[in-house]
Amino acid sequence: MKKIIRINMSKDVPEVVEEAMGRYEGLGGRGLTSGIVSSEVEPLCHPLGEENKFVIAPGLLGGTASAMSGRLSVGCKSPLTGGIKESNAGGQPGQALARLGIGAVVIEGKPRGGDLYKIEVSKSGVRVVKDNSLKMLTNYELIERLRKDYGDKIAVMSVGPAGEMRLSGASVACTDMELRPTRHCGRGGVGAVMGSKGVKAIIIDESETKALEPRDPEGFRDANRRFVLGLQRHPVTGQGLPAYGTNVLTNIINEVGAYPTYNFREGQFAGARRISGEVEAEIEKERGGNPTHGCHRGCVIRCSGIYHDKDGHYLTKQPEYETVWAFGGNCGIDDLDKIAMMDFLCDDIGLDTIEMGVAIGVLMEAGLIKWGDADSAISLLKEIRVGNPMGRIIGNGAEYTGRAFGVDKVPVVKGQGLPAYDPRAVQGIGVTYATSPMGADHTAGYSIATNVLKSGGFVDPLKPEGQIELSRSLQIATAFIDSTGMCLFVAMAMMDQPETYQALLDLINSFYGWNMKESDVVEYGKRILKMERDFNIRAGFTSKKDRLPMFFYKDPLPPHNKVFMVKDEDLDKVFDW
Amino acid sequence: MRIKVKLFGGLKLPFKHQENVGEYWITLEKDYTIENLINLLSLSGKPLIIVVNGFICNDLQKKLEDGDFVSLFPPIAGG
Repeated sequence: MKKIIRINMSKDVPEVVEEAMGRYEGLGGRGLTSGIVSSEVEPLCHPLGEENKFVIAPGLLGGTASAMSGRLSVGCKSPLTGGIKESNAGGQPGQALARLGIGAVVIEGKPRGGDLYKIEVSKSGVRVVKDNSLKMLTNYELIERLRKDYGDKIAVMSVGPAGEMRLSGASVACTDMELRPTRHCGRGGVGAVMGSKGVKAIIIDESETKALEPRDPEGFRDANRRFVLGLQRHPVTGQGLPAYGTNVLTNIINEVGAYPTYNFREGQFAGARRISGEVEAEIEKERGGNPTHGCHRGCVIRCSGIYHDKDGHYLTKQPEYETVWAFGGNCGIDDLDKIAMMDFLCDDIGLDTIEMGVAIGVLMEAGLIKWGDADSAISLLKEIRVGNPMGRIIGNGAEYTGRAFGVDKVPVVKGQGLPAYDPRAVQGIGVTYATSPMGADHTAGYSIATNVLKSGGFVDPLKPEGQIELSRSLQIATAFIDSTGMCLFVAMAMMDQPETYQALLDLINSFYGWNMKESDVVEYGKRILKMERDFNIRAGFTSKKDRLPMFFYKDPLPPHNKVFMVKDEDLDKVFDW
Repeated sequence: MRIKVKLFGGLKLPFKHQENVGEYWITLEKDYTIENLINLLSLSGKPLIIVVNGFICNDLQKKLEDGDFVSLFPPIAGG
């Protein structure tokens, strides 16, 4: 039986209460974080106030022996968007929490003073310990401290200085298999909310935990075998992602003219090949890094990697496509070593790489630094670490930066910076950016799969027709997958191979003793989206929030010279099912 | 006619070429189709994403024209 751990930080001595899943039974991951936030958080509250809650939830299959099931969701009201937020990451904490029988951790209230706490989670229970010596440590510094105190058999969630400063671009770091803070719940300023609760780190003792026992062990084993075979057989999950990582996308998105360049002025970047996944993998091999590495135990896709500097020393994990784009083409930078340094700084300070890249692009738009000036961009990120006014402006994200410097071309939806696909050249992703309850989020309904990569069919990316239906079905399916603890990349194989889809359902059914069918998946996804939309409406959102910034409708994007053409009245139909 | 072939994601030319940057100008006879080109590159039967002059191409019988840019990718994803 899974349980919910509630920690009340408003008490003089933080109070820990354990309770049954109750009305949240059957929910996991995003479904559980959004379920708790939508029913327990006052939508009009200040995101950094005591009424907000910070919810952590492994997925439905978290803690099991199933492959790919280590994603962990965090949820809250977002300081960046003002709406509901779920942000998920890989790494070890998801599996570790779930193996301890924990369905969710809910951190409530807010300490009155300025004390900083760490939360210890182990087989013997949950302890909240005051530790002001951890103040303003970066994530890497913090982990080294914790390694000395607790040993290697831990998994850690933490905030860096950005989270402690409650900046809206702050992330929550999750440690990977090497106990490095490289996997981040990046989007929406979730780190600021964890920081506002006075919590620096959650330290989960992994020792003496074992995989959760399924109801039907034999059926589960068989389903897992079929699931893994399906992932290994599919060319994307079996070959492309392991060999080159997510950054294999740079070239194709650039070739189809959808690679946002110079703050979304152009759709192609002359330096794209130099920062592509193919080049990145070569650098990693040459320098003794590793281009094929999983972010958590049980990952068979292994889209991540290890990036070494020119001297062969560890610099950061393999920067992902979105990160390489945000600091690369978006800022006119074509130097992978500099981009990798920015990736490291964001992990260390605890920042969302997409939001920071978009914010720096806005600063370049304002003329404060020149396009392509990587050294100035690196200095700016270091200013966030120090917490000076300039650093704090950037650390609060693209919209805030645009306002501070009087920029009118600011690529955000619901206050959240757009990711690495221009919606004028891939119209389907524009529908997702505009309508997702999360703000501009590519993962929420990844139309690139069908608009460009031909997974699950093909819908012409340059025309408005078919995009509403595409985004709707993807948003529904994603809400479900984000609830399972599965990495979203499993969808690439599931969209093309019905037997792999069935294997995932069989995993869930054999674990819980359920009889979930495809139609139930759709209902599950819709239920989550409905809860999230409902929260946003109560927070004051109207359909006017489900729009792209005006320049996408009037400034044609070279080379195709298209604008975003999906009509407003059609955007308003995405959730009419 | 001359067209430019751009290869990505580990795809390689099956013959020697003086250019070695993943982008190659090659000379073809008139009326060459995408399918002919794929055969020439020894890529027939392999799943590919084909981009011609920035547009995703779903028609293997499409005739190539002088100056076309053809970009070829194995199945990939990311994000």
